[in-house]
Amino acid sequence: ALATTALAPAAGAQQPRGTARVTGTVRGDNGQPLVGAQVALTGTGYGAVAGDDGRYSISGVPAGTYTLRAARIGYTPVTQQVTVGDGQTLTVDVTLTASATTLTAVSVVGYTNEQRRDISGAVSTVTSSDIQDQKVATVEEALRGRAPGVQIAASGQPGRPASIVVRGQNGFGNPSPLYVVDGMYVGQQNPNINPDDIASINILKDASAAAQYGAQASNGVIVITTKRGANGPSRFALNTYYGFQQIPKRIPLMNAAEFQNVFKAAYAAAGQTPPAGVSGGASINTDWQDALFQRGAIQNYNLTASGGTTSASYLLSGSVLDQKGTVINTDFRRYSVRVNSDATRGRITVGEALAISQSNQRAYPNGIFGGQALPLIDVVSLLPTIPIRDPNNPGGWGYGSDANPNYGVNPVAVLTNNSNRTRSNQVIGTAFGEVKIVGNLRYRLNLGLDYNDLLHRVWTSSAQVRYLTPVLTGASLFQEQPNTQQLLYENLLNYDGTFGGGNHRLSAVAGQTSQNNSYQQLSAFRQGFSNEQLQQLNAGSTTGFTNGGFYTPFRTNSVLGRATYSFKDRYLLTGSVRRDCSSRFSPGNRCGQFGAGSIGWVVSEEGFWKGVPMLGSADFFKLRASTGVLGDQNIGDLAYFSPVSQNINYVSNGPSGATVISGGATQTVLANTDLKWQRNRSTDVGFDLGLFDNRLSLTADYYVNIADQLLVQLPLPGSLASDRNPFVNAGKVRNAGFELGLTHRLDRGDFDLNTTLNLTTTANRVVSLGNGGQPISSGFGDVGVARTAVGHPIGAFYLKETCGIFQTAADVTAHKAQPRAQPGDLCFVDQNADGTINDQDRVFFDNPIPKVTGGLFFDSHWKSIDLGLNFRGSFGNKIFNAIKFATERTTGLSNLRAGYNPWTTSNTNTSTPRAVFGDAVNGDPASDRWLESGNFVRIQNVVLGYSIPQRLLSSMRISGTERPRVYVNLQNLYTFTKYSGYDPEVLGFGDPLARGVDDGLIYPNPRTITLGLDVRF
Amino acid sequence: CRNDVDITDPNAPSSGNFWQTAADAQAGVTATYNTLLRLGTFQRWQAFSYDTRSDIGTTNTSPWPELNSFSKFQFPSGYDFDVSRDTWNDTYTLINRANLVIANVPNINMDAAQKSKNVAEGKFLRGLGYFHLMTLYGANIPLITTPPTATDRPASSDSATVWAQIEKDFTEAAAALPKQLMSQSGGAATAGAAQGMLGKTLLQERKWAQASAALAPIIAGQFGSYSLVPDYATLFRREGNNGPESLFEVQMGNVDLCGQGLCGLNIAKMAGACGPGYCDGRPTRWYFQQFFLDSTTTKQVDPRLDATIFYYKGPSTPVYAKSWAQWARDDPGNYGDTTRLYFKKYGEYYTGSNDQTWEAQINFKVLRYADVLLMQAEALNEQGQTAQAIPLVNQVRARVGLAPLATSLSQAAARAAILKERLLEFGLEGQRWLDLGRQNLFTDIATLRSHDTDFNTFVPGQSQVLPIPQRERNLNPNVKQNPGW
Repeated sequence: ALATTALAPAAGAQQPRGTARVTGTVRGDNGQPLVGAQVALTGTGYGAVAGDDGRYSISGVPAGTYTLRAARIGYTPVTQQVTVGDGQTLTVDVTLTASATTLTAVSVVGYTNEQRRDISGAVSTVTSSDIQDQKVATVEEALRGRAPGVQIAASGQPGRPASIVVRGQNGFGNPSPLYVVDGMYVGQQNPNINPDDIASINILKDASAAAQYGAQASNGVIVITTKRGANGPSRFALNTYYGFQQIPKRIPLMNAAEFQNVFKAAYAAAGQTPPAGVSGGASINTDWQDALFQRGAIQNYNLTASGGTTSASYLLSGSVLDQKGTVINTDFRRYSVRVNSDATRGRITVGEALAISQSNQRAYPNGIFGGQALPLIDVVSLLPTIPIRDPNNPGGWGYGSDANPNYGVNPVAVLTNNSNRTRSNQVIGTAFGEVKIVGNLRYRLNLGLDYNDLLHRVWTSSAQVRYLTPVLTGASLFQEQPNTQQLLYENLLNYDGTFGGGNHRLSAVAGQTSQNNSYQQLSAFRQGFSNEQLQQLNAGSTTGFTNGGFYTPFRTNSVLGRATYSFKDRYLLTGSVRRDCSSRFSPGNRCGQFGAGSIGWVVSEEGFWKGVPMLGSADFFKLRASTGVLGDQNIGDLAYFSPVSQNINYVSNGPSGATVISGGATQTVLANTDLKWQRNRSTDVGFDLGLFDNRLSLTADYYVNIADQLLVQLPLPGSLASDRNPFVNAGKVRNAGFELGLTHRLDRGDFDLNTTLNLTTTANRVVSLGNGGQPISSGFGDVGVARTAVGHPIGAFYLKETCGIFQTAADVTAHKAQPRAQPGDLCFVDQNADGTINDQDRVFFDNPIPKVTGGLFFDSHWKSIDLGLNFRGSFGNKIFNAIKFATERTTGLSNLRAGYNPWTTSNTNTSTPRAVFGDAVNGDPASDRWLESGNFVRIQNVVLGYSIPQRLLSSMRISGTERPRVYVNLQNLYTFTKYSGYDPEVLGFGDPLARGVDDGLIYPNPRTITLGLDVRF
Repeated sequence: CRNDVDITDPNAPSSGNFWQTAADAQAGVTATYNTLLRLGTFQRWQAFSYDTRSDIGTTNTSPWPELNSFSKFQFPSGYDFDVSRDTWNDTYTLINRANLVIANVPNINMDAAQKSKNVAEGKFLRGLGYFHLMTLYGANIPLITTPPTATDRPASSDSATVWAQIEKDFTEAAAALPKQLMSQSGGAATAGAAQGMLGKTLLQERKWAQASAALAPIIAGQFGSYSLVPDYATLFRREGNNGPESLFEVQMGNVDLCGQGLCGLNIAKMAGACGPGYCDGRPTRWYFQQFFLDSTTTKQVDPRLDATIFYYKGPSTPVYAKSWAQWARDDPGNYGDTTRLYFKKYGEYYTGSNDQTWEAQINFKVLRYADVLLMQAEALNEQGQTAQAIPLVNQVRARVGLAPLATSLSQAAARAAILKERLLEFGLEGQRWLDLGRQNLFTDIATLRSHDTDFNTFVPGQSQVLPIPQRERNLNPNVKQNPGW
């Protein structure tokens, strides 16, 4: 739940003097002193600010009874009655409980802890209390819709990381931000962290906030801090839930008879004889969706123990997550253990955070039988006249035939006979030692490790699963073992302190950080398994077996400095510099300097504020501005090398039948040996506003990011014959947008309601491209339905524009450009008026990226009941819908959408062109016919909880626990959308240059209902 | 604590330390030959782009819609259809690897004779690549003769420039390569191969006199003692690999060597008989009938028919290890119809198996002596030297028992006779499309339509060449699309 703090009133002018004194220490709920906490006797002018040790002292107080109110940004204020007599010194120690509000939390802005109030950069914070009521399997799911400026696309595939984009897409590569977990750089992959372990997530969005991560920060930084123990007796928390998952939508498809009728007409229109599967009777009527989709399940158990003394603390947690997918034979299981601890003695503090986890994932096998399996395309396009199982076929599975010439892969067969499993053993650990050198100056040593040992096995049985693709001579097994090791080593000097009577506050860090990473990979392949029960490499044949391995190192060395300074809590200044040297670039281009600065002005602290018309009534108003340059080295290791590939052999066939093999080698990759850092200049202006006792708070930002010297993996034309697309520094991209966060807190006795609204707008435009401004084509096979070109957003659609359907021969004649068209055919706009329709008539559709995204959250409590409701929405984009392309054309033989309503001479009132078998024109993939609005509003989460009252517990003779909470949680309850594919939200996976293309590779998000129990004792 | 960011790739030699030794030069040449074993060069699609697209074959019974349309000169799913796309990409890979050899080997400090041979092999292979691109896609192909950089977007060339480059490459290769037979060269290109391809290039350009001058020394034995093998059918079996008739053939791998990138010839699996193969390509009935217009001196059917096409000769007609009658019982959909025709050449029907492997280890004949003879006959006849031409044709006819043609034939009659001889001799060897183009037969579209209904959708001025693949056009704005596409 969110809480908002009223700030203590400024000291009044004239107060009567007394002789009593109220003093004490303000501590946080973990026992640490709260510097800067404001303590006041409400309704009077008496008050004080806690010093470095958390102590406060209010003197000169007249005798009497007062309401003492202690408040600090980031904590829920506490009030209590105090009575003090003349000359008396009353000691009142206060403990404040941490809370989070959009304005006041303490943020881990990387290398420093900063009060939200002092931050002049753009940082979004999500705390455990925000997400604890929502039961999700991954970090990103928890973040969805929570933070302005952060777009998250999740997939329903168990264990598949979501895709996160912060403030638009700055480049042409992987747009994911950098993840930092307890100080450890874990790269651009989502660290597989148990959400129950998370204390807070800070999203560093602008240059000022992210600059301390310099060269790796250009896509933003997600700083995850895990929970730690607190001063106090041991506490246990048990969190558990169980739920069901289902794909919320089925594509309505034709049954066998309907499908046959359409295609009989389509073949007749083409003057062709239909195959037997179309012309014959339909004894089979397969519902492929029924066969592929299943009810999934998710369950989670988490137990946490924590506690400590003033000199040491600990937190232990263990959890099990088990998820059965909504597509058959897909699942995910994660076991994790965490140990976090700290110990302090005198000037020395040491601590560590260690997470060990194992996860097991079974995913849809890709690359089966000479092509990528497209489960969501196969499931809609396979014919209803093909049986799932067919004993007449070798292997017993149904697939296309001469009677039913369809080339889809039987997805049930693939998922039953073959498997694609990944086991990951991961250790993420950090340890630190800190020494107070003198005063507020500390030295800190950080060591970090991220070790991930993967085992990936793709087993393929020998059965045939696709028409005309032969049965393999035996089963095959591909096994690879990638091993990643990342080491971090940092030496830092920190200063945190106030001086000048508390008017100046400075938080600074300077030091060195280096990373030493390595990736070691071993892979092997065998086929010819005589006994398919034996699914290990040694059980396969040595004929045609292969193996391989490689090792790639990656190292960085950096120095960094950062300081945040505030004067009188009003004037805020932050500066960061960082110099990074990376092994990913060629020797002359390895090092880059990055830096940023920001300023803030808490206007509401000024004396004149109350007199400002309108705004003066606001409790808090801060203006912010920042600018800076960040780097990007997201090109993979060893990318500037032009390696020479070996084992490119040739054979000589001797007349006797003997063969002699000679080994060849050559360059197969065109590389760019002059690669440089990408540089992103980012500018942000914004304000934070608190109104009505800070019950209503508003955070607004406008940002502009300009990415220059873009690292682009440029697709090369076939004539250059490069096996891999090289990286080049090419071009410039501009992202700009507004972000708005609005929080309102309503508190009426037993009832409270927090309302949060986030809105983000994004406008993305390519300013220039290298290589003579030549556009980059991508998306949907080689058709290239997306194009990245100057003046357009990244991955704009590039398609022919349709102009309805020709109703008469006269329409065709009048249109001129399509002389061979017949009534019922699609009309295409002849953009260049050259009298023909060809590739030159394609135009840009600049809407592949949502213009506005947002989230709306209601969190309420009434007595023992809590209710949360969460909406998310996305507007202003179109989606290229491959499902529609698969089910609404008659180019080849595939099933059709139910209600497919082609034009005929007697059915002219339709937008679907006539059905002609083999029709390339109406089925042209490069046409805006396949674009659909991507707008949606989703009821993302509904949670209803009940905390069992104490009296009920005592009547059940249960003691020693806090009130246990039981809840029911509905996720992805309903989506309001016109999009006809499975899920308008699955964009952003795969090719970053074709983010508007729903290519049918991604699982839709499931609808989930869970029942859960949280107990603390 | 040092953390050195100066690292090198520990996995492979990089361009900086390659092209240093004679072994590197040979490895680079070998890697260039390797590209001959790709779908788009000689492994599969040649049979479709040069043969089934011509009037001797068709794909109009293929269940693969795009391949079905291919012999009708249509691309329902766009210009990146496998045949066109693979041919483009694979041939340019051949050319670029050859360019690396030609650019780098001269700078290596190595034995001069070996250096000269390796560079010449590069030139031969590059010439071969451009000959195919030119005859399939036409002159809008970009001409790349030096290793490109990643930012190059090579522009469309023109006919004269490309042809001149091909002639130059073959001329220089012929001068520097050893004069050996294929059986002596270990599969490598020879002077005869380059000289023969030079003749073929000049002939295709209709430079009759120059072609004649190029081919004459081969027939005179100056490049080695090439001869016609006695049994035509064995040319296309494994035992025919690297025989005395071969000027150049592609050395094929097999299924066991596939893991090393050395797969075999796919033509029989893809375009051979239904049952053992997929019969995506089939002979036209007109082509079949041409074999009956003449007969051997012993009144037998031209034996080349039986080496080229499966056809019904009665219930016991063997198709692989089974009789037609057995196939008709097992696969009535295909063999119930006794008028069906299937390609037979390059198939392993003689091995006792009922299945054709994908990876037949039968070398693809790029250029053989019978072609040299018939090319020279054509070149001489076009220059009016019909009497000198006819004996060359008769050498090819004699091998299969056909009676000699009279040297008194008119030039026009001789032209027709030579074309017909080529038709019967080179079925499925990638020749007919070249013949149609060289002899201007595309202008007589009515005749072609009477041979092959696929030509009903042939658009003159457009269908002679394949469309440039869409992906190339998307990524390289300097390449012009061919007219009409």
